Amino acid sequence: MPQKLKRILLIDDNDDDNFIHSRVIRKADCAESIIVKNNGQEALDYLTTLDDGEYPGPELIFLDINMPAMNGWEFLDAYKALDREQQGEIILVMLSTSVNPDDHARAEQDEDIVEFLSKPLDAKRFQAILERFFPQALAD
Amino acid sequence: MATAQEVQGTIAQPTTRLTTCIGCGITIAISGLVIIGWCTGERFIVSILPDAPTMKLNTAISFFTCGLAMMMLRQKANTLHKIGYCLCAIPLFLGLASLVQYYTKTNLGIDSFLIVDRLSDTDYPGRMSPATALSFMLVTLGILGASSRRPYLVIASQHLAIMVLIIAATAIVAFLLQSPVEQKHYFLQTMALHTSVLFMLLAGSVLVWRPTVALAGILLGKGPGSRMLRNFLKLCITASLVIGALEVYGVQYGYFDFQFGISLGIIVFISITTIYVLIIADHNNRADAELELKQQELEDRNRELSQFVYIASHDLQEPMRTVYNYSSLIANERDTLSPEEFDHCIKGLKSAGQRMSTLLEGLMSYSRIGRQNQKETVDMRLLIDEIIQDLELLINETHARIYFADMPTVIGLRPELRILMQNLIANAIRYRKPDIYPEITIRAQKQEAAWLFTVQDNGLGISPQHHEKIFQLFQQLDAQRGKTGLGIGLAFCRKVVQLHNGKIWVDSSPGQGSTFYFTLKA
Repeated sequence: MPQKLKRILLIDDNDDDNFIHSRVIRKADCAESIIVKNNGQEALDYLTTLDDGEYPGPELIFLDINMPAMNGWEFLDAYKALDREQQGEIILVMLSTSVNPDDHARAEQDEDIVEFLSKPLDAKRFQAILERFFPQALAD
Repeated sequence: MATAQEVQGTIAQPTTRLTTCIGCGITIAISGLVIIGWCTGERFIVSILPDAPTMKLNTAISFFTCGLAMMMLRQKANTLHKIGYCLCAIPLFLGLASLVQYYTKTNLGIDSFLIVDRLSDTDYPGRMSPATALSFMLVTLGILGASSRRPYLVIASQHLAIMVLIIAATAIVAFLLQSPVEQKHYFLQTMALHTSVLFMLLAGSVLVWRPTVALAGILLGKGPGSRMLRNFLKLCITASLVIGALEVYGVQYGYFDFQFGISLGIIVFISITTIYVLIIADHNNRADAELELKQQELEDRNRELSQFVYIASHDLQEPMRTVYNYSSLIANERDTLSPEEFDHCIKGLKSAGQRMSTLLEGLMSYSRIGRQNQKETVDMRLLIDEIIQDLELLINETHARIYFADMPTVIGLRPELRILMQNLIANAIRYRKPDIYPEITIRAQKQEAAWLFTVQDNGLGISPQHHEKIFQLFQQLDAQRGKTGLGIGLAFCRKVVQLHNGKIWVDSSPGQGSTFYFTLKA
């Protein structure tokens, strides 16, 4: 019996991408809920707000780089400053349309980021991430 | 006839060609006239002035053949060239023979070979002066050199021509300053005035024969150095002639003695040329600074352009990607798409298409700014009146108040300035606070060489980190994804102001309203 992830968080200002990405995740049928936040600030608010006496602590976050108000890198800085329990055991995947090699290099240096993927996320690459980090969530 | 020394951008070839033709023509005409004078024994023709030296028959013949030879050598036909070369032998021979006669003190009999000179009042009647003889040799060699295809011969011919110019000029100056014949140097003695003038014409024609090469190229060029050279020569020649004449006049009438006259003349000449060079130097420094400014402007424009291309391609990629993603989804997952998901895809496709066309329209109108650059006088007060009429609906809906007074007139691109003001006013109304009526104050303040305009509002304000970003193309679109405006407005404004060599910036903080500043040259 596969053990589903509780929550997957998508942080992206692009609603079209969010539609495609949440559909890919939903079709994989591996998470109980998918939460979408449109920018870094909304995502931070979500992470630091208690829900039933508990921080939401999603297991997996997909983070976009180019966003207004607070971009992906600014979110990461704020995220690192959070309490341990607010951070939870989170696996961060960076998603971007950026072809900027600086962004890529910076993502590789950051220990919180496990993958740097170019958009859009598709079923195959999502599967690969699950196999690597959450094998228990996969059906046999 | 391209050579290494060729100078770019010289005075048009036809002009110099005409100069040479006229030079040859006059030479042939005058020397022909003198030959007739000798044949008829008319002293008036051979010396012009009663007591002045005569132009000897040999001199006239030499000029005649020089002029003819030059005309022939300028033609393309080969046979004419050969005739030209043969004709050159005559002045060369006459010049050389005369010189030999002077220095060996012999008489080869060429002075009175054709007609016995009874008109000249010299030791050797019928004999051209040593200066004339030397000049003929030089100018003939010059003609031969200039007609050749070898660059070094052309360059040499120009140097020879300048030597002849100097000899002839010395004779002319001596004449103009009325230095008595007997006081002239032996070398120049008996060089007639019309002889010197014809030498100047011939030598000048040789010098400009190849107007793009070497010395002629520098003298006739369009560059700033060439212009300076020409002006400087004009000044030097005029100044030294005037000073020389005054000196002679002063000595003659006993205002000062000879030595004092010389030293005074030198001092005045040095002062005049120094002042001239000072003016040129200052001008050059200014021109240099201006050039640097222009270069800076060009670099800025270039940077803006590459940024423009980057931003345009980046922003166009977003809707393109969306179209690609949705269409792939429909193609690959047709069977698993729910009707609602399918609707969503279609709507997404449509809005991406719309975004793309809006972006392209914006890009097009942005690149059209300043295409027609007819600057005119623009009354800013009338311009703002018109804009307020155009925005009447928006102003009435929002109860906006717009204050302005003492608007100046400026020189600029009228439609572009209108876009600028309209964008600033419309933005001030659009980003109003929801609870108070918008109030906009427009002021103009005279600065040193520009007008400083301010457009102040009581709207939402902009946080400092965005003060630079808002002027970039499509930034607003990025932030609000097309919900309001194009995000192109302030980029427009900046481009318009830059076209007028001005600057635009904003002073604002959230909740405090915004003040946009821009400068326009007065």
